[in-house]
Amino acid sequence: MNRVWIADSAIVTGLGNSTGQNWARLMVGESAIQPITHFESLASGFNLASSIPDLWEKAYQSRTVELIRRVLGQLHEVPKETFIIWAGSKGDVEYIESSPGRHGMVLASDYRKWISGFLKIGGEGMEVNAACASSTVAVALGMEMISCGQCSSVLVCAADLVSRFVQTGFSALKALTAQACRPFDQNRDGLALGEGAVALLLVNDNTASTYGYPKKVAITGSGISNDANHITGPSRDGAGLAHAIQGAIRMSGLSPANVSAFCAHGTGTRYNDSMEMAAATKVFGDRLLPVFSIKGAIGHTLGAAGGIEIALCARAIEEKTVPPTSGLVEPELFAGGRVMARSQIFSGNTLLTSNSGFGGVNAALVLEI
Amino acid sequence: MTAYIVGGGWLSAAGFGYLHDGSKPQFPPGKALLPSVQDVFQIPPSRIGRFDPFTRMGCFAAAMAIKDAGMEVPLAADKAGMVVSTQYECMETDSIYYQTTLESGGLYSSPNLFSYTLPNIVTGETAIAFKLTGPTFTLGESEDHGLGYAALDIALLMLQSDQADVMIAGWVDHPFKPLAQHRGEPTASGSVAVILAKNTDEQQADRTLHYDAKHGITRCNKPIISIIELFG
Repeated sequence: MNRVWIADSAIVTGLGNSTGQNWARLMVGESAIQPITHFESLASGFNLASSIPDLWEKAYQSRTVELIRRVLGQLHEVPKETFIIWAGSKGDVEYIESSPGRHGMVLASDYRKWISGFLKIGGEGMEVNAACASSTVAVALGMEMISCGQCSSVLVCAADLVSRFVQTGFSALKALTAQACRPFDQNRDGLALGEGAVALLLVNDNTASTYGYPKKVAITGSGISNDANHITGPSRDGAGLAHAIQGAIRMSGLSPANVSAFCAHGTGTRYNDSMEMAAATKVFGDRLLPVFSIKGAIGHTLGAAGGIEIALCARAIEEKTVPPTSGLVEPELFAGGRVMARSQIFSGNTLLTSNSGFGGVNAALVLEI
Repeated sequence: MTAYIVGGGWLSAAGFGYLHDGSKPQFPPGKALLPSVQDVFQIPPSRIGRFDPFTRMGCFAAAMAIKDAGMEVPLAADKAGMVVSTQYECMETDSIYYQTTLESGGLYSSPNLFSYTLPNIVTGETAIAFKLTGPTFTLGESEDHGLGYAALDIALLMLQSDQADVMIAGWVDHPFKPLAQHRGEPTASGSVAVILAKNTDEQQADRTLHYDAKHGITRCNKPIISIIELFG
C-alpha cells in the first residue's frame, strides 16, 4: 500500500486568509463569530456566524468560486494528473437564493470543473456529499484511491458560505446559539455557522519525491460509519462515531493508546458534543488525551469543516500542540481534563480528527508525523 | 478484489423492476412510478411520509434491491453501507424549503423540509430503515462513464478497503425542472440500486465483478461502465 502524504494545503476562514493566520489567531483564543451583516437579521434572534468580511464588500458572480480561488491561489504546483474531489455541501445555495433566471455555477460538478480549468489540469474527478463530514469523507476516499494505486495525487477542495438558506434551517432546528459558541462547555447552547474554504493536496511517495513536496504528515487511517439512528440528531451513545474512529485506528495499524490528541467535530450543540465525549470514552476509556474544537473560533463551516480541520491538524502535529477551544468556560463532565481553554502540548506522533453530519454519517482520520 | 451482485431494483417513469426478473432499467423523461410501500418494505420507515421525492426514490430502489437479494432485515450483522450518485441532488426540495423562509424574517422556515436539503439524506434514511452502519454518502454522477458508475466504483473501493462487507450502490435523480430546461437536459426521474457483497453462497460468473486499480471494474474480463449493464 502506498503511503499518503499531505503535500500542500490552504484554508480561508473568518479568522484568516491562510493556515498561518488561522493558526496564530486560534493559538491566542480569538473568535471570528460576530453578528451577521450580509443578510437581514432573522426574527428568531439567531444571528451569529463567522463570516469573511471582504467576501461581502463587493459583488461576485459566485462567492463560492471566489472562496475556491482564494485557496487555490495559495497552493504550489499541482501535478497535471491530479484527481479532483469537490466536497462543498451547498454549492447551489447562491442559485436557490437568487432571483429567477440566474444560472451559472450551480451543480456540484460545475465547481469541480471550474477547479480543473483554473489549475489547467486534467478533468478527472468526482463530487462527494456527506453533509458536514463531506471533506473528511473526501479525504478518506482520496487516501484510499492513492493507497491502492488508483491515483498518484488527489486534490480535495471544499467551500461553503454563511447563507440565509442554511442559517434559517439550523434556526428552525433550534441548533444555533444566540450567545456564543461554546464547544464542550457545560452551558453550551448551540452552534454558530462559519464560512470557509479548503484545498488539500494528497500525494503518494513517488509524487512527493518528484515534485519536492514535504514528507512530513501522512494520513494513515480512515473510518466511515453511519449511526443508523436519526437524520439530524446524533446517536446518544456515540457508537457510530466510535465505530469510525476504531476503523481509522485499525487501518493505521495502531492502537488507541498511540493516539496523542483528538480534533473533535465539537459543534457546540448539546447532543453532538455529548455524543463525541461518549465515543471518546468508548475508544480511549478514561484516558485524558488532549481534545479540541475550532468551531468556537471559526464557526461550523459545513462541508469544508473537516478539510479545514485537517489542514490545522497537520500544523498541530508538527508543533506538537493543540490550540485552545475558544468559547470554553466550564468543561462538561467528560470533557474535563481533555478539552481546555488554553493550548495543550502533547508528546507522540499521531493525531485523530473526526466529523459527523446529518444523515447519521461519521468519518475519522488518523494523521501521523 | 471480487464482489458479487446479489440483488437489484429500479424505478422510473417506465415502471419498476428487479435484477432477478431480468428487466432492463429504462429512464424515459417523466415522473417515476413507485411500487407500494407494503410490497417493498418488510418494516416501512417510520418517517416515510415525510420523505421528499429524491429520498423516496433512492430509499425505494435500495429496499427493492434488498428484497431482490432475499436479505434479512435489518442488515446490521454485516458491515453494510450505501453510496449513490446523482446530478441534480435534492435541488427541488432546496427550492421548496427556501420558499418557507421568506415570510416573517424566516420565523416559519420548515425544519422538516430543511432536513431533506442535503443529497446524502437519502443514504441516511436508508441506513435507518435497514440498519446500515457502514459508509454512507452521495457522489456526483460521472459524465465520463455510464449511469451510476461513480457509485459502483466507490462502493467497490469501500469493499476493497474493508470499510464494508456489503454495499448498496445506486443512482437517483429528480431533476429540478427550471435548471434542467435551462441546460437543455432531459428531466427523467428515477433510481436504481444493486447490492454488492464480498461473499455469497451463489457465485455466478455474470454476477461477479472484479475490481483493481489497473483495470477498474470488469465482469467476465469486460469493462463495466454503468450500473444498467448489471441488469437484464
